[in-house]
Amino acid sequence: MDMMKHAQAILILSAAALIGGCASNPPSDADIAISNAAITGALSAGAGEAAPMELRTAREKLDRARQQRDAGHGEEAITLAREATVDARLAESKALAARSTKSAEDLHDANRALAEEVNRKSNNNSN
Amino acid sequence: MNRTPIRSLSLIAAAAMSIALGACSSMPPENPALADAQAAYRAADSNPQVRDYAAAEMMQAKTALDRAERARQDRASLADIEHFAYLAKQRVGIANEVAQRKAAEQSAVQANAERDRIRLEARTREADRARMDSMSAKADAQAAQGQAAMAQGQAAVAQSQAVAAQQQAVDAQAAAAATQAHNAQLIVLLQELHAKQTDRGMVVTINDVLFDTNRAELKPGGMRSIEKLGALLKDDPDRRVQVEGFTDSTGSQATNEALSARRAESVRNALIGQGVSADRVTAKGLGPAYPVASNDSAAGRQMNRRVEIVLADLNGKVAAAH
Repeated sequence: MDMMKHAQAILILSAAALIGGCASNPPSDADIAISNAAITGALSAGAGEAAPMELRTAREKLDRARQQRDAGHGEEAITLAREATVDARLAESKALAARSTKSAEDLHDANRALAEEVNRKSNNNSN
Repeated sequence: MNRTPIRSLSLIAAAAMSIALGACSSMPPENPALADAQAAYRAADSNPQVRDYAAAEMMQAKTALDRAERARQDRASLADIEHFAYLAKQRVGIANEVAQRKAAEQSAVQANAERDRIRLEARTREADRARMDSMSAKADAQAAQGQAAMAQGQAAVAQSQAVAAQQQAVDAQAAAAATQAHNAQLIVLLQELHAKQTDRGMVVTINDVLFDTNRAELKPGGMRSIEKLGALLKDDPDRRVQVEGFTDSTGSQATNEALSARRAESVRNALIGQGVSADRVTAKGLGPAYPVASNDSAAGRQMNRRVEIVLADLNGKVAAAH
């Protein structure tokens, strides 16, 4: 998962570098691409359910970043894209934390059930 | 890490901006958004779980926070300060979430270990139970064996008791047979002695013909009767006898009584001579008393001259008729 993400980021970065190398493309495109990838990552981590607010904020900011870029406001586009990226990252980490917390709780619940089962069985047999 | 080139770029940009804005005044104004971010950072940094599990994320948050602070110091635009403060605050949030995720993962590892422990314990208990079951089964078997052995012992005792009882029955039968034989022998002897059953007991009469006239010594024919009687009394050691002498009415009373007493004594001595214990035999002379026939005829008088031997009953008492 981390390796995938890294590979994805490297791809995006090299794409951004390629784009950045070309004078006709605005420099905000790299940040917008990173932000877009971060949102995709958050979505696949389940942020749609676990952190819908952060995810929505990230999307809105990404949209506005694109608008600013299209309007030729490179600085504003970069600012918005970077905020969208941390929003998406926060959404993703919330989703991952929620998932891990849930699965740990499930394991503990299963253990409690198992322990009760074991106790009941041994009590039944000893009676 | 992959963002490093971009961050260097923006660092350069921020530095350039701070140079441009740096010249203005002495004290940069406080920024609430930045203060917020700083407070959030301090709270996270005081949480050991976050410090341990999200050190890298906290470092990124610190970098963002420093940049925001620098922007404030450099009197950058409010939008820039708030932008960097926002990035810092979100990075603190990310650090918190990462710490929570890793703590949950750690908890899951513990839960897995706990599950293994529970399963092991369950298997151990099951094995213990199986062992206990087999032990109690063994104890049951031993108890059953013990009971069987006890039952066997009881059966053996019962068998030996049965054998003993059988032996006793055989002995009793033998004793009964012996008694019967003895009784039969007794009856034969008594018949030979012409014993008569009277209400005083069995009475054996020794006739006058067995004595010489006016003599007390027994003739040999009388002795044969005494021998038989002695044998009978030897077999019957508890029986007592009384010897009574009688005469006919001829002659004086005193003479008759003396003669009858001597004859009775003579028979007693003969019995003692046969081995009958002296204390079992008493003798007395009754003279002409209790005649068994008339003294008017010679035959009657002869019948009255006699010695009677009364065999007492088994209680040792001679019925007291005479």
